[in-house]
Amino acid sequence: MKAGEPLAHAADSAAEPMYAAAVKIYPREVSGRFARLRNVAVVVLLGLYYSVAWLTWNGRQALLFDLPARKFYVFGLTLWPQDFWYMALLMIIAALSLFFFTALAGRVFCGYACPQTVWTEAFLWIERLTEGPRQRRMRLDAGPWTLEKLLRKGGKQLLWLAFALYTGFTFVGYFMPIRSITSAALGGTLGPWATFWIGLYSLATYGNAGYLREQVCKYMCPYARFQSAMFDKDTLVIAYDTGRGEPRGARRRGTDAHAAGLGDCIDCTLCVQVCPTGIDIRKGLQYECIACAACIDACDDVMDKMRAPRGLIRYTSENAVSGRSLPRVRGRLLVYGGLLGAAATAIVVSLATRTPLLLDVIRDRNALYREVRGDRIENAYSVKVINEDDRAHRYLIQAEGFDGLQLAAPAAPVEVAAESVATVPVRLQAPSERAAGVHPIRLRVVALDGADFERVEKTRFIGPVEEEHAHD
Amino acid sequence: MSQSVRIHAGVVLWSSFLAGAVASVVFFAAVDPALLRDAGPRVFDGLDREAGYALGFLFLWAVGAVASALAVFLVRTARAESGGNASGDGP
Repeated sequence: MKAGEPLAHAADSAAEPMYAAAVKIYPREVSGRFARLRNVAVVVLLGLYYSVAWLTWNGRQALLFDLPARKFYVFGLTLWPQDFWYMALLMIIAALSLFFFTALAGRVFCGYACPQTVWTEAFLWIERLTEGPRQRRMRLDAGPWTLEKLLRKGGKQLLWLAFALYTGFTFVGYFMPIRSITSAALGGTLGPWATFWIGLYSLATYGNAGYLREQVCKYMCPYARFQSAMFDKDTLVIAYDTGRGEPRGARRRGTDAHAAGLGDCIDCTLCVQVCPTGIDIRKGLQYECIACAACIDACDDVMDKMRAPRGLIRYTSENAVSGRSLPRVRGRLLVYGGLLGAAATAIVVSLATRTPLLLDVIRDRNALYREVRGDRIENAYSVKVINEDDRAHRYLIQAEGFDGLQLAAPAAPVEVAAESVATVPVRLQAPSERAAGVHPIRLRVVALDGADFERVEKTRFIGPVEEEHAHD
Repeated sequence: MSQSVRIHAGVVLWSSFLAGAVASVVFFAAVDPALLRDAGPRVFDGLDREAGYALGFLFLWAVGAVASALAVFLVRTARAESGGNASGDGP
């Protein structure tokens, strides 16, 4: 393509083969085993999404990533920004699970659990409720604007908008306490940023589930592009049995297909009509396929009517289709599974043995050291004692590192309220003759009130440089 | 606007959105926007944490969008000159 040439009319596939024209897809409704499975998944996942935000635990929201307060509540657990690596580990676990299940069963996530699929399905239900089944929707779109069309389309938009708005509201309710934003919204006192995020997320829901739909999977989803890297010849995919189906063709019911020189595919194109991404599975595995199995349901139905065995389109693997061995345990699965197990073990063990106490030690920035009483060297620190527990504790601060190091004042216990931070000035002293140079030391904070935990943080104690000392 | 420009704009905005979201999570896990406000110039006075998160995210998104747009621009113009082979591989 030359510069300055008008870029790619979409249908001009030779010039710009990357993008097909975005023709509106009217997925035909389908029923069957996998459609039922997806419906169950949609109801369960959406049910969880809309209800968990309202659960309470010990008198506060059970699952709340409280960004304004910078604290994460996960049921009995309170996580602080310092605990961020737990979230990082959770993300890694999620990614590894995706790899593991992709290697095992292909894109099961896409077809049943991806938010894009789940909300699109919900939006399609609303569309069917207001505009009717596929044929009616196509006629309605092609027809002129009548009062009925206005009412049906208007009703759909109203329901879509309300549903999207409630979705956005619930989303924000996981990041700000949902009960307080509810009363703020009802009282008209919702803050500008809460409003902004609710608006943005509602708009994303409305656009993605109402209009973009399969285009999200085709153009926006990175996973769709790299999932093939996790595939191997034993990965479960949805495939059309070419050997059994071809040559395809229409025939009268009861015709002996083989006598007529035909395969089992009657070329009814139902598998194409039900496909939410608008592909023809008979052309082989394509990256647009989200493995929703709608074509399996449709084809099984047809095979039943033709009194042919089911499974002309089915979940299978490349090896199974070519008649090779049964699925086996592969190195790939062991690696993904092993990493997943290790990460899950790490998070469980570290959560079980977690100490709800953190220290942050900052050396005084103004002076390296100070001479006191002529024969002692003093260093000053600011110690942040972060009590992550949901009750108050009393702590004792101790210092250790070399002979003669001690606190300048007799140590008094520090009381820190539940989920609070206390900043304690700490002065350490050592005799001048022992203090020269830089000493690695440790500050230890011990809980006093029977709670059996402590935390140690490393820092430095700095004295005069030794050469200076020698000149004296 | 031709369809390819629209799609490229969409890809730029979307990929930078993803990068901006991840960058915001990592950045604000380490840095409290309230501390940034106290240490930063006077124009930020009076902003709360929520404003800090939102402005930070929008800023990171915008930076990502500029980088993505530049990448797309360079790839597109390079392809026009090298006669259709954008990937640069092959004999």
